[in-house]
Amino acid sequence: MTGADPAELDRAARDGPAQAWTLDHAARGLDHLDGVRRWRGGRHLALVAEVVTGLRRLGERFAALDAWVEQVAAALRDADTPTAALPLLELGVEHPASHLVTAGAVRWQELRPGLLDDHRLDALAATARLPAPVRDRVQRERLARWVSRLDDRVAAVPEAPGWSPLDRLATWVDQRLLELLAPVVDLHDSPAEQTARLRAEVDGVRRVLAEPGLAVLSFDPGGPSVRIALGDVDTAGRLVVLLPGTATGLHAIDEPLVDATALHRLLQHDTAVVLDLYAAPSDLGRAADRVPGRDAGAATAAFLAALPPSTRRVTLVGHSYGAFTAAHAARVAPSGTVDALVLLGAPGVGVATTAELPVPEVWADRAPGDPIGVVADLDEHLRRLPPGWVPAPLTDPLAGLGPDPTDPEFGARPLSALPAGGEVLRGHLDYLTAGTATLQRVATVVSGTLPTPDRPTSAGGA
Amino acid sequence: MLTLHQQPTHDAASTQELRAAVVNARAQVRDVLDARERTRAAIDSWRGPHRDRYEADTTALLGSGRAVVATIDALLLALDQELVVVRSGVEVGP
Repeated sequence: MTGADPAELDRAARDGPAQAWTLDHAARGLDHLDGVRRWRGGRHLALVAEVVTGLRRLGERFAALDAWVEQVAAALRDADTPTAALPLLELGVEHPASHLVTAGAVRWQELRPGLLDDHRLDALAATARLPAPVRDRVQRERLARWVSRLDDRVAAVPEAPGWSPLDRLATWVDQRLLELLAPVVDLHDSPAEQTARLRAEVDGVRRVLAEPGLAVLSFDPGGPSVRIALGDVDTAGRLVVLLPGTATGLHAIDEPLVDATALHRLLQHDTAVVLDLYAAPSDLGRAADRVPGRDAGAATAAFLAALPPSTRRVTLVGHSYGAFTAAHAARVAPSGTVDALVLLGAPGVGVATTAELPVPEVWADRAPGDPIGVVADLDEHLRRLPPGWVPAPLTDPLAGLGPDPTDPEFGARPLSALPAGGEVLRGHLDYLTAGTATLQRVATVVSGTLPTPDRPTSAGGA
Repeated sequence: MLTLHQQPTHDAASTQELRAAVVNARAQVRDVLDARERTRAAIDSWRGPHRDRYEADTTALLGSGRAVVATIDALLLALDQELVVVRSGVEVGP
């Protein structure tokens, strides 16, 4: 892209005021004409009024355009300092000064995110080309401001009356069923739960802010969701995105962070592990809903698409509901973006077979004793029941997450067939726990070092 | 609107006055539009999305300007063909 010469833009805007005056003068000439003003109506008077209005509107719109051109010219002229270059970002202006963003790390070091107002801070955060240290500082500042406001919200939540039996029941019912019952009885989170969740989100943010080794890649207060990384996302040759499952998020960051750290420790060199803490469903009942996974998967795909072009190997690792989210991200990401997809303890990933997933390698695993198998295929089993036996919300095509991805008919490669030492895990929550065979196998897939990934060398447990 | 209490009388001065003002407005708006066209053509160092926006906004505004000129021309045509006769306090059309 080529920049503009500020002086040239100044010249372009220079005649604007005189032109605006000319148009206004012409309008006044008609509007104030004595002969016209004495009229009391008629079609041609309307025509004159139309001309007057047209001239005035034209003047105003040209003036607005000139103001924008002047703003661009001023931003370009002063763009030799980081703070002065910010208007360039807001205006979407391409200019040699924009090189500050990518190559001028020294100048960007001078940037003080704390001095920017929220609007400019958000504009800066939305810029895809920020160097990693600047991006981290900007996102941390946004997190810090958000958490300070969250403190006020926590204080505003009234004291809780406590959990009712119906609340407990609700956690096992589909979200759509909740919506049906909502007019009759309030099954939404109690004030106590709301308060606890807000406090947990505050703690989660403070945990992130207290970890200097974490790079904060993005933050969306709407979810809320945050994307953090171990390692250099921009330069690493191997990139892993971890998508945790139900009941995780900014309010429950500890376990996913431990998992991400364990995986990063195994791989270390040339690897970045991204922990994608999206707004996952808060409980198993709500996890029958595909919408949160689709929204989060689309956001993950957009994140991958915005990374600088590279030959990096990208692996998406989804656990539990996160497997559905990861699979959706792989489906909607630009072709060739995702090299491998690992589905751990998945309740279903929204597709019938791997043929619907545009990913060269799809791996799946379920540990012995993982009860998630009860949930997988649930929607299919329910549909086979006689009509009237199943609550209507669960017969919705969007209820349930689809078939079991460890079923051979699904077509995923069995992760357990990869050789690995270590502890054989049991249950649903320890797939990425340090020291387990599964974690080692995931690391093997991430590394991309399998000589013939189509034919694993030997069978293994877990 | 005709009033029964006032006999319309021809007011040639008002019609000519209006016509002169309309012709003047037409010349002025044409000058502005021509100047805008020249400015747009003169900026040659500017490339990228911001230039695209400038081009699009200017094109839209020039289109609006031409619409104003067309309205003025319609008014002039009506005046030339004496479709509008301005009488004191009353406009009478065909």
